[in-house]
Amino acid sequence: MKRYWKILSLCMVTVLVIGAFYTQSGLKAKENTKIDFKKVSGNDEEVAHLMINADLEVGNLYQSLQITNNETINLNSQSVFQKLARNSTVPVVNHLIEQYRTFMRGKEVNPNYFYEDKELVAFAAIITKDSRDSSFDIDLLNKKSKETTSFQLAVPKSQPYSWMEVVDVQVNDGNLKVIARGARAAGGSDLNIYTMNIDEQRVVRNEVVYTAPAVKNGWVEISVINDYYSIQPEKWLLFKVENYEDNQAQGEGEMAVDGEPKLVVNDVMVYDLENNQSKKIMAADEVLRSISNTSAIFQSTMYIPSIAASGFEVSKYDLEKDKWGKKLTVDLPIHTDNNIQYIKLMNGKVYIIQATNHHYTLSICDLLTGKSLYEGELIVKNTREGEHDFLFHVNDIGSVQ
Amino acid sequence: MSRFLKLVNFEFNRFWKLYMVLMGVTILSQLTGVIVVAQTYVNQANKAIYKELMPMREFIVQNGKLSFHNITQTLWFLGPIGICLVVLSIYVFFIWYRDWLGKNTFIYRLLMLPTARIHVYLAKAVTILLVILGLVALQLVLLPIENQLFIRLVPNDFRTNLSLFEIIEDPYLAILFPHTFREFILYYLGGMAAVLVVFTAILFERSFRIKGVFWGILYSAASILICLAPILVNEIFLGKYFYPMEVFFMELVTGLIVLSGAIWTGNILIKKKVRV
Repeated sequence: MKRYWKILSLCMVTVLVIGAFYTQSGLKAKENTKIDFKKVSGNDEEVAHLMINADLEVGNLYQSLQITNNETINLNSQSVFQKLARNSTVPVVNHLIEQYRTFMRGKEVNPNYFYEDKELVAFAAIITKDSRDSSFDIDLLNKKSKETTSFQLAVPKSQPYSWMEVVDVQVNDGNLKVIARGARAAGGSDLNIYTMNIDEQRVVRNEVVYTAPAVKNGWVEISVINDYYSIQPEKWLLFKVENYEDNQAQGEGEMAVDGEPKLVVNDVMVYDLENNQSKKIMAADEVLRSISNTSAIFQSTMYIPSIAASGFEVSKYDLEKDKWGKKLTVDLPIHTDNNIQYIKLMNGKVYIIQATNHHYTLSICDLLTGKSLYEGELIVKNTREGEHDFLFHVNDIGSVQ
Repeated sequence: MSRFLKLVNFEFNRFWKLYMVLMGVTILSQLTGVIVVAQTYVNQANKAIYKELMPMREFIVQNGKLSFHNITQTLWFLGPIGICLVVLSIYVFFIWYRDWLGKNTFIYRLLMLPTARIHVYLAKAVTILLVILGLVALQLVLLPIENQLFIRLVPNDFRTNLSLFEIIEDPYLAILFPHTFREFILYYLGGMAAVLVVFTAILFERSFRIKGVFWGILYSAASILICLAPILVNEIFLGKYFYPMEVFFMELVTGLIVLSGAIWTGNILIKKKVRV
């Protein structure tokens, strides 16, 4: 035995140390950071299907969290197995994968490429082989018969574009509509809507909804302002076009950029997907500027949230009648301008997260009446010992099934 | 069985001196690192606060609090880990070639032992595994000690306290100490598969000499290809048809094929082909 003392002691120490480490780390996992919704007033149902994506910063440690009413998932400390089983971090896509596992095989998990209603699930992407050869890759699933239809079609008049991207997919009246942004090789961008007849499997209509001309010393942005994570049927497509130009100044021998870029074009457009009509929204410049990603359309009315001296306001614009409605003042205690962390308009409700002295509150109000539906606090549990200073950055609020 | 254990013990004792040196270097360098990093920061703070009369709060805003992560990212800390890795990688080759190239061709005696020759092969593999796990355990024991030392050297107001589990969230250390035991088994099993493939490639060379080098390289390339086949096929030919979890299980199967293939081929080579 004496001859073996070295190897025996090494084996014993190794087994003890590694064993102790992994039994302890198993215990530790149960004490991960957890964030609870603590109700102050309102209905608990409001937060039952809510998911908040946020970063928590404690000291100099960061954690990416996915928070729901039941659990808080720390994306950083997930094991390889959990990461593999996750498929995607986008709940709507995960939901599709769970329900239609075969149909979803091999598809890019970008929610923009999907559409779902009671009868079918649609997928459309643009595959670009080279600049002259782009094609639609289309897959449809009939929910009742479980039948899938797949076809590929050449993108009509795709030659001028160096790059194309699907921004939304919609289906109505047996027609599939693919809304795509195209960057022209010669400069500038277009927003196109391609309508395809599903039965005939051909493109029946190709409309350039907006053409943003090339800017000599600047750039153009066409951004579709709809919920990125939504794959539901929609009647309206809201998009914003911004053209920026750099101020040129005579530097030493060469031109140099001087100061802030200038906004030359600032259009907000709305497209009626049922009647194939587009119109420009007419309003004062500041109002147009305030229309951003936080704006949303609900029941043919566009809602634009803003913070005014009197509190939190929502401007309303009726898209059918082209009229501005009465501003809605949301019944909510607002302390100062800069404590609003995150605003989201979703499903006819407004969700607001505020921060005051490391206190985070969640308010949910009805968009139509402005009445408060839920008031609550976000309670951070199991942060690190002795650390009370933490920062909470909300990246997104969404709903889960 | 006891013959096999004797072989392992024998191989281990041959590495013992070098092993002690590696452990010593690791302990010395990492402890020095903690002292140097902590003292530099404390001196900087003293200078700023007492000589330049900067308020403490201002100093923390400018320089940040010191945490153990500041130490794990230094060469003092990662350097010895790197040295151990390099030495062990070389030793994977040396463990075989020393038997042929030593003063007296020791391999002759090893292969003549009244035991299955594959035991020689496996004993060398087990020794490598033991040595690696021993170093991992050493690091796990060292970390809390270094953390205590760090806490003593830096005043409370200037440091962020980290637990052992927060310290190893560092991307480099997370490879050495995976979060769960299942991952630990998986990572180190993968590592051992790689070691066994190299062992078998070495035996190819020892069996067929110059021609064997070619066979060895071909064999290693085939092993890597088989190992990566599920990922490659799924990405290139199937357009990501399979979900990540499904690819993982296929990987597990091909990994085990490569591992058992290495032992099987190694067994044939050492039994019938190897030259002394």
